[in-house]
Amino acid sequence: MSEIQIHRAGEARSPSAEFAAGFGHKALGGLRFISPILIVLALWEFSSRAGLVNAVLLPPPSAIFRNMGRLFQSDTGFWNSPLVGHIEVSLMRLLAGYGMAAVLCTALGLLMGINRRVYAFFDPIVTVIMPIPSLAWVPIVILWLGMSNATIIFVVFLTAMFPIIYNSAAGVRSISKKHLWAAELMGASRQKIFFKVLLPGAMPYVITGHILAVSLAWRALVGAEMLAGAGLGLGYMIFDARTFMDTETVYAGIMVIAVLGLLIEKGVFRPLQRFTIERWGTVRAG
Amino acid sequence: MDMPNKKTKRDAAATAKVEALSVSKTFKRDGGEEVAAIGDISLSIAEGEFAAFIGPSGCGKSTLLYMVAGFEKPTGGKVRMNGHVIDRPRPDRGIVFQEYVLFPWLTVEGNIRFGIDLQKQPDADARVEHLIKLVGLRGFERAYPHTLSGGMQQRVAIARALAYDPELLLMDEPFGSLDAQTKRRMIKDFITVWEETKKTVIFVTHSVEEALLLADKVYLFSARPSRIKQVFSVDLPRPRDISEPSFIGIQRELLASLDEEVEKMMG
Amino acid sequence: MGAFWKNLARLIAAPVILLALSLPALTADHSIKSAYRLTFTSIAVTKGDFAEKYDLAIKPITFPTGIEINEALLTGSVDVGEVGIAPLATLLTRTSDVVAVGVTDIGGGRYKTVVRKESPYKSMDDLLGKKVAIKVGSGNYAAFLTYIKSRGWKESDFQIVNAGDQEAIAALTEGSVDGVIYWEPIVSTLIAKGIARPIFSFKGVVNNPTFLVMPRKFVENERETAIRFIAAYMDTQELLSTDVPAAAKLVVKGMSASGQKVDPKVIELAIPSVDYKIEMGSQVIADEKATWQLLKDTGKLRGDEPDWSVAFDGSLIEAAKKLRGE
Ligand SMILES: Nc1ncnc2c1ncn2[C@@H]1O[C@H](COP(=O)(O)OP(=O)(O)O)[C@@H](O)[C@H]1O
Ligand SMILES: [Mg+2]
Repeated sequence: MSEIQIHRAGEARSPSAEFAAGFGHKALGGLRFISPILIVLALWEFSSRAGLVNAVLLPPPSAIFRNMGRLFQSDTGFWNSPLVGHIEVSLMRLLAGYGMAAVLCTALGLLMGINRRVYAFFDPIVTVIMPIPSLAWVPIVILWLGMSNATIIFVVFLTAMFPIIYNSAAGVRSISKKHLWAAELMGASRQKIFFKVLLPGAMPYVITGHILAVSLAWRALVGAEMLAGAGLGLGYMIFDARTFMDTETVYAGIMVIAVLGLLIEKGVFRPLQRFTIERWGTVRAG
Repeated sequence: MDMPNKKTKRDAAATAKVEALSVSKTFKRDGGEEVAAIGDISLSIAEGEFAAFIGPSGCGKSTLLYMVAGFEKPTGGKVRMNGHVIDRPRPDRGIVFQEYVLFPWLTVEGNIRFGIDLQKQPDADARVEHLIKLVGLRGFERAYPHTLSGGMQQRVAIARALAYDPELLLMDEPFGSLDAQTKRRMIKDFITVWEETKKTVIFVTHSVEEALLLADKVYLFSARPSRIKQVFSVDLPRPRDISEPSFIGIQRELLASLDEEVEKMMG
Repeated sequence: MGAFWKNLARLIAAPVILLALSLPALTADHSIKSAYRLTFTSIAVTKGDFAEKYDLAIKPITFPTGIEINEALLTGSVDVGEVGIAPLATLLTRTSDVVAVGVTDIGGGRYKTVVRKESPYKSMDDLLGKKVAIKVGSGNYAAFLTYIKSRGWKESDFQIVNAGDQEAIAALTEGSVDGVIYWEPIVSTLIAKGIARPIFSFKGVVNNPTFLVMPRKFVENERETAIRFIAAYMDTQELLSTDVPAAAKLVVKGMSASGQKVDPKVIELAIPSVDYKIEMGSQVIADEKATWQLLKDTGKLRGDEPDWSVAFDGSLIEAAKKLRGE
């Protein structure tokens, strides 16, 4: 009896100990991620201050952060600051363009996966158009929609489209015939097969497609804003700052873009992955 | 041991759970070349019978099983269940594949409930609980399939196929990818499960020992294009002892006949 | 070990020696990397044969506007460039490594507002709230700011589309903007093509000079080349001032090389819209200071007021005059 108790005590961990271990693990991971970045920033600061590089072309990080602080201020508070305004506009454009692609293209991709004729029709089109760099569309889209929000949103949409279509179709096609047979035999109607087998079965690919779509769309967005920003957005802010050789603002913009991109990936898609395909053990390799 | 069923159609329809009438199946390969998988098969499986299909690899055992399931259609002849021609998959049958084919996004419990929920059958919780106990998965209800061993996953697949109470259980080499020890244990446990449910079972295997440990009748398929070469009745009480002389006798006979067909397939 | 170090030393020494040998060769034939863009002066000095007389080779590198030339001057990747009054204010705010050595031309007449021919707009007032292509931060942007200030308008009263030269031409051609505020010969090109008509000239609104700017290092190290360039430049200005048809021919040649077909008659009319005078008088310097203040007030400039005492160097002009035999 007492032996068993000793054994148990040795094996089980108290919840708080587990929490502490998990927290320590996370902190360590964060440190491992951030320390190379800190080292680069320190070297950068040093070479900029020591005059090893032109301080206009490569201003020291301290100056960039100070400037970022300034850009985050306004007479009416943080939320009305110029940088928050640009971020807001950029995120809205991303959301609009990606959101449209997410709805329409996931549907089209799944349909392509299900229906052979639809696949045969769209596959060549997707294959031909997909490799075109999305920024190559900007001049044409400006022709159609002018220098406007619509142009940028459309370029974001175009960019997000193809990874979503391609992966959604591949996801459905990756589901084995036997899974469909099994469901059918258990009495699943076509509609039930779609919602209970095809959709979750395609999920690993669909999620991969969406992650790819958002990260590509984010890059295209910033590029498109530089070409057709019409006064707002992070890309335009960088473009405008360059005009006045305000490199501190250019770098501040680049840093905000990097951090937001990371937040979208780690804050939105990582949890989504963790609660779906990682739990199911269906994470795609590569 | 008796020869292929020679009863009249009417007689067969009256007593048979599943029957194949002069079934043939030819596949077209991508190149246009035709493969005659099943030549001419007629058989009749009685209600409550545990039938095993055995034969050289590629002779059409799975193909016939899939035709009973309603996944494939015969090129010639008819496959019937309860006297009706099988037109499509229906939930009066359940299937267990060699590769488990579980839904990875559902827990053990979710997989087992799948058919019950689709058909909105009553007492779902109680049935699922009972099956989990029956196949020995207690404590794993909330586990996802990828966290389980192969044997455990196949237990889930068997429970899933039985959960919605089909009349006929189809099994395509269910223990084929398990190691020898696990396989022995699975056979033993499956006999218990079957004895409780008393379903009609068609069990495809390439293992003579497995067939003889489990089945009432063993249908030996010839080389491709296949027919039923022989049907062996195994009238031994379960659990069977592989070292018993009567078991060894049938085993030797079945093995010899099977080897002949395997030779033909190789040659 | 010894052999390794010796080889390494040779490997490092070889390019250094080569570079040292080639340096005098490069300076001997007086070549200058010149930022080329679509202005009457830049086109004429590059396409004409003014430099040959001074045994000078002009190597043009194309830029859309003075904004991009600023960056090239900062990094020393060009030796000379034409920089408008506003970009120079920006540049001087960030660095003292450049110096203005002369004026290319002066006058607000080079800046015009054009609209599509069939559009109803007749004045700047009609463009309020409309899409207008302009190069933000350029000389005409400063002229625009000066003008709207005098009218009591704000920048946000227009939908500003920040566009380079070719983009501005394309934008109005496609109709994706309502108006273009740009300099000559961009505006005349649009008029000559039958796309645009002018509704406003900045003549009298401002009297902005555009500057010839060089990296300070270039002026110090290759003063002789710099002087020869300015002499050739002054010859170009003389042609633009005295023989408009001949100058127009050069400009048409330059424009067609960058894909713009223009009627020489239109160019002939546009050339006299400014004065081509190299001199950097006190008024010119005062204008530059005023523009700096104007931009500073918009909050877009980063840095303190430039040290004006070292920003302008008129001594090269005097030397060039001697070289021209004045
Ligand atoms: N869908 C198919 N297309 C083409 N040939 C097939 C198809 N399914 C099975 N076959 C062929 O039919 C024959 C029988 O297959 P199968 O029923 O799987 O044999 P087994 O007895 O090993 O289960 C094999 O030669 C196989 O290659
Ligand atoms: Mg098989």
